[in-house]
Amino acid sequence: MGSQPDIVAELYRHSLPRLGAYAYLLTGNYGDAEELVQAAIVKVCARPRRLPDAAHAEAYVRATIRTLHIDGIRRSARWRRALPRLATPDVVAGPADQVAVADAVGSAMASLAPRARTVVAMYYWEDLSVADIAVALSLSEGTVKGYLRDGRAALAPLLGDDGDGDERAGVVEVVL
Amino acid sequence: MSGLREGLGEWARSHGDHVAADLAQGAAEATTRGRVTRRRRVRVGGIASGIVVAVGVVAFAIPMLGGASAIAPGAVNTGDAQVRLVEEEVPTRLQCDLPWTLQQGETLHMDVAAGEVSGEWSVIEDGGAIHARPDSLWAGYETLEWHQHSTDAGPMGAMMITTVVAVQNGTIVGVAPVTGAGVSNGVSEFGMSAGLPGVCGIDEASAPDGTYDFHVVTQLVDRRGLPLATWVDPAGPNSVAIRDLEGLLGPSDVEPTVVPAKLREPEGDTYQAFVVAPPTAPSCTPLPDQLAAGQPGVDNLQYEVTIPGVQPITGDVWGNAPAVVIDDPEYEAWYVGVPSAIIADQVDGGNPTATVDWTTGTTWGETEPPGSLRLINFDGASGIFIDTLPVANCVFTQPIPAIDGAVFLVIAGVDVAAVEAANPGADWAVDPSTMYTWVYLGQAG
Repeated sequence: MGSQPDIVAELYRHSLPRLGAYAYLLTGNYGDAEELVQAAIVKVCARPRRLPDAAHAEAYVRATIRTLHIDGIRRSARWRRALPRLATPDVVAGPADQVAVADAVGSAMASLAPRARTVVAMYYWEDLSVADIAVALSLSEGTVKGYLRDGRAALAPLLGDDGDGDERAGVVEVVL
Repeated sequence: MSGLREGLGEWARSHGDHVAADLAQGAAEATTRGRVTRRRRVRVGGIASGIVVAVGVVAFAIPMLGGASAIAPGAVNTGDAQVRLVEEEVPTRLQCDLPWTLQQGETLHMDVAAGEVSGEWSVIEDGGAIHARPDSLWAGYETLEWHQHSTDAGPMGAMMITTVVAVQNGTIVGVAPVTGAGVSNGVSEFGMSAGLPGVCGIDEASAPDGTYDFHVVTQLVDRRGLPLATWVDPAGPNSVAIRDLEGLLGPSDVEPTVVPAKLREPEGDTYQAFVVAPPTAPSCTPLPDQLAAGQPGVDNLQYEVTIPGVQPITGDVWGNAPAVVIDDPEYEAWYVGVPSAIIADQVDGGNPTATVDWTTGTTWGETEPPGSLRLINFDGASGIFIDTLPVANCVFTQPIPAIDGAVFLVIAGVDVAAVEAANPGADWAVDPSTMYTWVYLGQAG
């Protein structure tokens, strides 16, 4: 089992491109993606977990990126509701991201609502099923499928469509 | 076209390389290590003293001041006495845990007509009253706001981006969502919340009550994101004494409250076991919440439990794979027939708690009675009854999950005699019959 400082080094040495890609898919800008990756690494490594190696740690960090991002979307909504008196200025991405969205795929992703973008990232990058995404986002499966349709509508003209429909996993209903 | 999945993957990877390159250079790794160290320290020390606060209700938006292009010294000075170059090295982004090094003033990075920026601080009370130039704030009931006026200029497509940060002892401890607006070549104004200390993007931070300095940075950038001009604290910094931060942000109910115990791998059929109190916080995932909070801890009573026939634990246990198979259907032990559950450090989907029960009959996944005693999830398995579970709201769609890390069998009972034998003089603070046994089954297989 590696010590935590070693895990941090291993993550920085081997995992950053994959973690950065997922974070960028979720957030759509470099600043947030970098902070998301860093925050996830901190969260995973600060907690006294039993991480046998960097591959396990990367899996934890990837899952934490997802969780933190979803938490961020929810907090954002709560914050906006909590500040009814304040003007709601447009929130813009960092200036470097104005360049990033210049590409067609970036523009298409940027056109999606935050939740739709998140659903697309979870489905196509993490290979999560519609059911799993619905649980993670506290949405109905129908809503998730709707977001996926939005994503495909925006992206298929640029990238083609895999024609894999909405569902891949068989599920069992369980009540604890 | 290569297909949506592949094409999107290629696109994401190219940006992932950019993110990785940004993080790989500079002090990002060192910053991460520092944050890990501080978080650990806060977990150990802060929890005991009750000063840990969690993320507040605020959007995360970490501003990129200058983005890939840092605020560069050596900019063009207009000659105006109020315009000052930034002399020292400055961070490329305003981010929690980085030092605040900017000086009040205006810096022109390009020889453009950048316009002017001014503004004032105010506090808005819950009832709507506004106080100018505030020196105190009641978190949760009052909002600190930066109201900015600007005479816009700059080239076509330029944009003004404003960030407010909270600073204490020279370190950025809070970042408000970045606010930006296109330049219209006119006069514009807007108000933005200053955010709160401890709200460091999506990360968690400690933010005790106290006096914080709030700073404003506005930057004019061109359409490519290159900085044209920077204004720092056009109205001067604002020191504000904040109270009730802890009350507003509150401790997270999933924060570790214990120092996790060192786990010992099983030896044969003998397993390390811990006496753990049942969960008390309402949750749909009460046992995994306890695990995430650091249970079992070093202070929990330990003993050993012998269980023959434990199978390699995988996500299939969440389906119809038995966790334990004992060839003797008449096998007797204190835990046989006691409601149980299985949890793991990492369960990647669905209900993180596997409901299991003891049976010698046919389960829904089997066609022949196996003639053995098995601990397995089956139709009709009762699982552990937890009275804090809001059952009506806890419906999971259950895939067969991938699991990882330490795996525990949670038994709704305790072998009191064995615990007392292993811990002579054990002081039961509560009725031992109400306690659970957490059996460490090893790492997920």
